[in-house]
Order: sequence, then structure tokens, then C-alpha cells
Amino acid sequence: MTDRSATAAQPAPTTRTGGVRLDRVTKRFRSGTIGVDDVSLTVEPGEFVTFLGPSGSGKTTTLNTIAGFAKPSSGRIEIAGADVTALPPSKRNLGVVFQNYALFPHMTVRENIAFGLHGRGLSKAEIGARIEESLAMVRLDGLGDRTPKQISGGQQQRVALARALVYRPPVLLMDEPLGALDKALRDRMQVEISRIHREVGTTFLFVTHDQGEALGLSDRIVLFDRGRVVQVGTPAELYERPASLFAAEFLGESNVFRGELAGPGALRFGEQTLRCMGDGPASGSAAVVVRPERLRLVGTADASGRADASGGAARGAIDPAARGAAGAENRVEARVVNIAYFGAFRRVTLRYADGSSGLLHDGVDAPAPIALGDPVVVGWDAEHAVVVPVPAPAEHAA
Amino acid sequence: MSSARSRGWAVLLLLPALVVVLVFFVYPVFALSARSFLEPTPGFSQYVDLVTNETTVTILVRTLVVALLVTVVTLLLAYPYAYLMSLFGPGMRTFLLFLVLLPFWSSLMARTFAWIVLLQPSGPVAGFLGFLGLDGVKLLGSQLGVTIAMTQVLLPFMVLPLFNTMTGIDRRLLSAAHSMGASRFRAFRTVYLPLSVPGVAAGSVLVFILSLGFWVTPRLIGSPQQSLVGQLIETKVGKLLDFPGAGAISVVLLVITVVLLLAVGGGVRALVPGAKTDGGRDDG
Repeated sequence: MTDRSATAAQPAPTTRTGGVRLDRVTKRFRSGTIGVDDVSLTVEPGEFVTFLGPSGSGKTTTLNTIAGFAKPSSGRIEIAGADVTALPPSKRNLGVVFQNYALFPHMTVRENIAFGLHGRGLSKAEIGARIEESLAMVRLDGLGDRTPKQISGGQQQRVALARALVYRPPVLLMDEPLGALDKALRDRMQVEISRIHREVGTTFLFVTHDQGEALGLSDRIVLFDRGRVVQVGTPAELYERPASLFAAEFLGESNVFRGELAGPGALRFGEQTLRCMGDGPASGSAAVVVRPERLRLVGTADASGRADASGGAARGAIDPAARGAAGAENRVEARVVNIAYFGAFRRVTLRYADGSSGLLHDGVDAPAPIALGDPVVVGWDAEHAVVVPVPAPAEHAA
Repeated sequence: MSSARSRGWAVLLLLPALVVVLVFFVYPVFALSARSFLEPTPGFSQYVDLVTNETTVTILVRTLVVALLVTVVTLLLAYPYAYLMSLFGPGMRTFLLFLVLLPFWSSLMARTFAWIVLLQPSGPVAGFLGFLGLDGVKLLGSQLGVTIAMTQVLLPFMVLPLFNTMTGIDRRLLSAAHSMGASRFRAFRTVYLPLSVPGVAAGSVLVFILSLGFWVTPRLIGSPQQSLVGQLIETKVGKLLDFPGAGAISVVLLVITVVLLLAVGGGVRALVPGAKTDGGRDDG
């Protein structure tokens, strides 16, 4: 503890943060498959950026090319303004947290953390002070003399973080670091990682296939699919304005209405015209995407009933719970397939006339009395309906 | 109750092997050891003779030196070999394993005679050494020839434990070391080498102990003037019928072996806590 003041008196640490730039990076494996396909990306200093995507989408391979564990077939990688494309991992000055932590089993926690401090021209006192500081940062004071086997999975995770940050790299790479932890611990570690990111100000690049982690942690999300970056944006942008059907379906849940565009903000769905955000494409095959919590139950339809596409009254009683929803711009008939109570909300699974299934989340106060098999009318506002292009089948296969 | 009964059955299954070990190993060892303390008069006279007999001491020391030499040479040869094996894919790995195990498919005697042919003054090894300018190196009937042949015979016993340990070392630990700025050399020295110590220890102990008891190879390739302890025991038992004397030497060998095992085991545990059971392999 007395070393704290000594640390403060040291000259300013080397850059604690730096940007990352990928310029047309492609990674072709020896087998011929393409792991990363022409990815260009700029990460600002201090940003928390998540690489999100299903397994095999290229997110980890991209991280590996940044770390230097994989050599890109073509393209250029810059870290903190310097071209590192040809440098080995040991010369890139990065922090890396591995999926299963990769702690050295034959070393104590303190020795693990000290590993990256050697060979950096630091005095013994400085090394000792940095280790204690790191242990405190990850709240592991007093566990320095244990070996990795003597601490829990969550604690090992903290050691991995401390070990990768102790030499103050400008960028920290994390490869699915929470994958091995149970749900409760994962939630707690997310909060911890956010706090540490704010404290150290280092650029964090975080790989995950868990959309919840991506939404909860990131400044920006980079969405990967089949080796390509398909969308980059803030969590809210990705969730509320998915640019593709893939983005809509991978991140969160959606109701998808497929049809033909009949001009900006209008989609022909069966015999109806659905009104939606007008900033998408204006013609061709497309789909309207509506999130489950934006969907409202606006009425029940009798067997012969038809919801009126023009926004007029649907035949059948408007449920009292949906009074506030009277102004919903779009209305579609559906049948209730399943109802599940989740505490914070109720989750209603629907089947639409075209056979596709959908989801509706509504609040628990005064839920509409619906039953399995009921014909219902659901509605939503145009501003919550996003148009995404539907790729032609052939293009999708390529 | 049923577990007690099944334990009874388990003991029954152990019984045949137990009887064999007791009758053909434990009893003779005890009998011979007992005779070394009881004949010709009770006491340590056999051991006093052993220590004061210059020839016996020379042979014992020579045996220890040869065993140590063979251990070091097999380790130096086997470490890179096992390392490569642990790196290759399944196909190449099987091939390399096949090469290591090949000697096990022929008898020790046949291999030793093969070495006699190879090590002859006019043989291929001498020819190769002559090509390198090393004329007149005595291979057959020398310590050098014995060491070469023993190294070949014992190499698998070093390769297999090393390979076994090395496949358990998580390669990501090396990536982690590199990411923290460690050079290849430093990563090897501080991470890989310590984690491979259990394999080094197991292989070394195995080779060293087997070397101590080698008899056929030094008998056929070495010379009587350079005999090892196995030959000495054989002479005492087969020619001089000096069972107590042979027993005393055997007891000394046994004590050396046990002390070595305990020392190495303790050393490994002190050096690499938990490395033997873990090795960092818990990937999901």
C-alpha cells in the first residue's frame, strides 16, 4: 500500500490506449476456406468494440490477425498508429485474454501477473507496485500466492484480465472471455469488465457470440457473418435499425413480414400494404422487421373477421388492454400458438396468415385475456418497422 | 453391503497377479536380501566386503556413470523428437510413434546381435566415423559401444513419457506468453520446459533404472574388463555361487533406485505444483 505513492511519482505510463485499424484484411486458410473476407474497420482509442457473430463467422480469426496469432493473407493492420502486419505477437504490445484464460498452471497468481512486466525496463519496486495495483483493480488482493487451480473460475478470469492489463497495453483483446462461466457470474463479470474499461481507458476488443454481452458492454458492435462485416453500429443502432435480415434475426428476436416493396415505406404483404420506415430500399423483395416489444395486441378477430389494412377498425372487439394502441398504423391477423409468462413480460408466440411465426411481448399489467388458438389482431407503428432487403436465394447461397 | 461384496470380488480378481508377484518377486528379493545380512555370520560383513573391495566399487560407480550418460543422451535425443510428435497431426504422429515402437517388435537379444554387426571394426558405424576422419575408434568391446546400443534400446522409454506429458501442455499458454511480450526462447524456458518436467522426470527415472540393471547388452557388446554391475551379479551367482554377495549388491541397487524415485518425485512436485495432473488442459 505504501507503494501507491511511489507509483504516482513514476513518470507517466506509456500510452494506455490506442486505436486499431484494419485495412482490407483477408485470411485464407491452407484448406482454401476464407476465414476473414476483406474486412476494413477502424476502432477509436478507448472504445469498447464487440465482434459479434455466429461460430465460424470470422470474428475470432479477425481477432487472431490483430493479435498476430494468424497472419492475414492480404491487408494491413495498424495498432496505435503503427503498422504491425508483419510483427510477431510478442512485438505488438497487446493484452490478450484467452477463452479459457490460459493462466500458467505452474505459477502463482502474482507470478502470472508479473510475467508480462519482465523485460520492460521496470525496477523491482515498480513491478511489485504494479502487481499489487492490478490485484486491487480486479479485487483479488490477498490471493496473489495462490495457484490458478486454487481459485474459482471467476477469479481465474480476473487474473487473466489483470495479467493482460498490468503492462498497460494500448489495446486489450478478449476472446469469448465469459464463455466458461455460469449465467450469474457472467452477469457480474460483465459489470466488472465495464468498470475496468472505464478505469483504465484502454481500447477493448471483445469477441462473443452472445448478443446479450454485445448489447450490454459495447460502445459499438461489429456484426460478422461468413467472414464479412455485415453491420457496424452502436447496440441501439443494430437493434433498432438492423441492416439485413441476418442482423435482425441474430441480434434479438423479430417478427418478419416478407413481401414486395411498393414504394418507399410501403410493403405489399399478402393483400395488405404495411407501412414502415421510408429510408430503406423502395422496390424489390424485402421484409419488414418488427421487434416483439413493439408489437401490440389491438384486438381479437372472429373466424370470419379480417383486419383492415387501411388502419380502420378491425371487426371484433377491441380489448380494453389495447385501448392505448388504437392508433397502431399497421394491423395484421394472427393466431396465438403459445403463451409464456416471464415475470417481467408475457411472451406470446403467434402464427401469421402466411405461415410464418412471430413473437409479441407485452406488459404484465392488465394483460389481454387471450387463449391458445385465439385469432387476434396485432398492430405496430410505422416508425418501429424496419425494411430490410431479402436476398434472392441464389445470392444467399453464394 | 453390496459394495462390500463387490470389493470382495475385486480382491479375488487381484489374487492371481498378487500370487505371482509375491512368489516370484517379493519372496526372492526378501530371501536374497536376508541372506546378504545373515551369511556367513549375521551382520554387515557382506556390505563391508562390498565397500572395501575396490573392483566392486569401481564397477558400481562405472554402472552409475554409464546409466547417467545413457539417461542424458536419450533425453537429449528424445526431447526434440517427442516435441515434434506433439506438434504434428494425427497421421504423422502415428508414423513417428510407429518408428519409436519398432524396436519393441524384435527381441532385445536380436537387436544386440545387430549392434555387434554394426559396431564391428569393419562395420558401417566405424566406416562412417572413418569417413568423418575418426579412424580407429574402438566401438565393440568398449564403453562407447555399450552406451550407443543401450541408448537405442532405451530411447522409447524416454520418448513415450515425454510425448505423453507434452500432448497435455496447452499450446495457448505459449500464445499467452508471446502476447505478453515473451520471445520464443523465453516462452519455452519459462512455460513449456517447466510444464514438461514431469515427463522428463518420468522418462529419466525409467531409463536410469533400466540402465542400472542392463546385462545382455554390456555382456555382448562390452568387454569383461569394463563390466557393469549386472555382469558382476551374474558372475557371483552363476560362477562363484556367492548368493549373499550378489544379494548385497542387489540391495545396494534397490536402495539407490528407491532413493532416486523419492528424490525425483519430491523434486517435481516442488518445481511444478499441480503440473502433473493439470498441464493447463481444461479447454471446453
